[in-house]
Amino acid sequence: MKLPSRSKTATRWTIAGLAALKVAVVAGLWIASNHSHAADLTVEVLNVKAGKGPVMGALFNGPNAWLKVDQAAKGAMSPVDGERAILVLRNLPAGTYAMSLFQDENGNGKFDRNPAGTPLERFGFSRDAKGNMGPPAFGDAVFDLQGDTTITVKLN
Amino acid sequence: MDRRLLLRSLLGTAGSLALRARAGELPADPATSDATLAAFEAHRAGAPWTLGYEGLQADAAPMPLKLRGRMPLGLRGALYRNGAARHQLGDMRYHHWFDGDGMVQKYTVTDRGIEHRGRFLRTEKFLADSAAGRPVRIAFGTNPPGAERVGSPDSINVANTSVIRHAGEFLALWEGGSATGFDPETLATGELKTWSPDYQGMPFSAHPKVEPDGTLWNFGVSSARGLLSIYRISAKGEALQTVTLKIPQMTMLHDFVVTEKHLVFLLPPLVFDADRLHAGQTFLDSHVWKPELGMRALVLHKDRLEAPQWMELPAGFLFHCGNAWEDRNGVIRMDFIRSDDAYHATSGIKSLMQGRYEGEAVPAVALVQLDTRTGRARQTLLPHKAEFPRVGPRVVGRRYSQVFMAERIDARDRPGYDAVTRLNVVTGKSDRFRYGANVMVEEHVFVPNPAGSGKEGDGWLVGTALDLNRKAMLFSVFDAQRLSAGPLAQAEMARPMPLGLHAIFVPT
Repeated sequence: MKLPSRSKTATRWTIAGLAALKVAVVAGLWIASNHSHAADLTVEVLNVKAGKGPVMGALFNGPNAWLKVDQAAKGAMSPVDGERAILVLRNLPAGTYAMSLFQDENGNGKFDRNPAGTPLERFGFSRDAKGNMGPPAFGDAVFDLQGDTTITVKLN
Repeated sequence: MDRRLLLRSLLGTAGSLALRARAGELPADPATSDATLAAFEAHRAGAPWTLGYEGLQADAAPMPLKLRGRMPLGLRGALYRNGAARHQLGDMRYHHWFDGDGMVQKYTVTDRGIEHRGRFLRTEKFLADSAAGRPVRIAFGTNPPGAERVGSPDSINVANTSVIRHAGEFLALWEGGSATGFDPETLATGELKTWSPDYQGMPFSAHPKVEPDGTLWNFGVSSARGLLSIYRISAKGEALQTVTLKIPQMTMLHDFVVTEKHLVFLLPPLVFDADRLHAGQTFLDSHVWKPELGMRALVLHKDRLEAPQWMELPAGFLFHCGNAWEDRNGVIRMDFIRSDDAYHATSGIKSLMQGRYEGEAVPAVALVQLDTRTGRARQTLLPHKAEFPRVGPRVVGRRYSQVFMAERIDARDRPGYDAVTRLNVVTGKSDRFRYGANVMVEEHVFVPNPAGSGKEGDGWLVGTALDLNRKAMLFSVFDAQRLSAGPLAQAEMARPMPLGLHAIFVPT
């Protein structure tokens, strides 16, 4: 049985695509309007491939949502500037979050992987967390957001 | 007591998984991390054969060989051999013979004589382990204590199994990840090979098959997802087709055969179990022997690679196949080296790394017929204790009768082979040369005589062996049709090398 060209099963490596970003942005606005404590998260992304497509990031607020496309708390996207990119996620409620990022090098809106699931594009996680032959656990990437914060993530 | 072991025993499996996540490390093999080294050190003095399993810690600088006899005029070029060559680093000795870092060895044959050199492939793993002074990344059969997390199979690629030259490129092959380029003159390491962008980093086996028109076929196994990938690559090195199939109960798979119309994979029932891997077993030990599955023959028509035909043979284990061809009635005839089970391949080989020889598996040459029209398979066994089957390049996937092998005749109290044999798989007749009990024979390769008739087997058999008494390597050339007459020429190198795996001869 030949594999379909795009796998329909949700896999551990699935990261927010453009549709999820729209959902996450709307959800973020709703959250912001209902909470008084809101913080901005700035993500400085290093080791980006210069001259290629944008860096996309998805923020998750718990292990159950972790890496599930449609359950990101917020998304963000930024074109690259040399070997860096800056993503800003505004008006987040205080709490613990973990972030996954990738650089959409070829600009197709997807995080590309080979048929065995190994990433073909650069990727990273908050706290520069590393998994073993797969993404890290939420707990390895989790960080606390209490006020305006800047974190740095280096892509692999 | 090691703190990690103590905590694991207190917390049980769940705690151990949490421990793994928190420590950023992987669970160690239980308390045997240095047992292999200690055992090897204890046994080696009483076991001269262990010379072949010591391994090296540095590249082998160029060294000339002393030649006896005359090298045939048409035989100029180089024998390239790959194999695991660094079996220990720091206090750790690998548990399995296939774990160690690959070294490409080159025996160059010119009018001036023969010269040898060897160079380790500077893979990511080689560099990381070398910098640390001990293995810090997992291997096929060993999980070193404190191993670092890695992102992909190529992070642990040791490039140690075979070599090919295709479309002018020289590649060191492994099977769990990409092929690794190397320079044919200096043996310096090049880049990982990507055949097509979406298959970057995909596994590429150590046994591609090149048909007479130059088309290269290969496969790769992604065990964690139960995937079998197929590659069809042109003589010019372009990826013409890549396909990936999902295989239920995917097994260890090392080799395959092609015919004019089909690809055939024999799946020994050594099945990958992802739960074992996640529980901290090595990749090797995550495989379970399930003889109730039999030996499944997966037959793919080259024009319908996504539509497998399955046939069944009696359960058994194999590493290597010789060759295959099919007649106009769709009957495929092939040969492989069969053992009854995977005991030797797993436990037996681990014992060798400890300096203990437990005796051999009793392999046989298996001759198989697969009828693609009826779906029936049958098998006959010939009593040869052999390995490393090779055929000439012009008969790959075409009608053939001659298979060259390393064979064990009377090797006595040590592992491996003491002879080389040419077996006619049609008549069952064989011709062989026995080196002797104290010579450990490596794979020999058939080299067609460029000025010959072009008939199958018209050429030379070329190969190397480790002489335990002289602590030297022997490089021998035979008339491939007269092995029993002994070598036409033989050269000796005054230093032993680690026993290697697969080789090619590249004519000048």
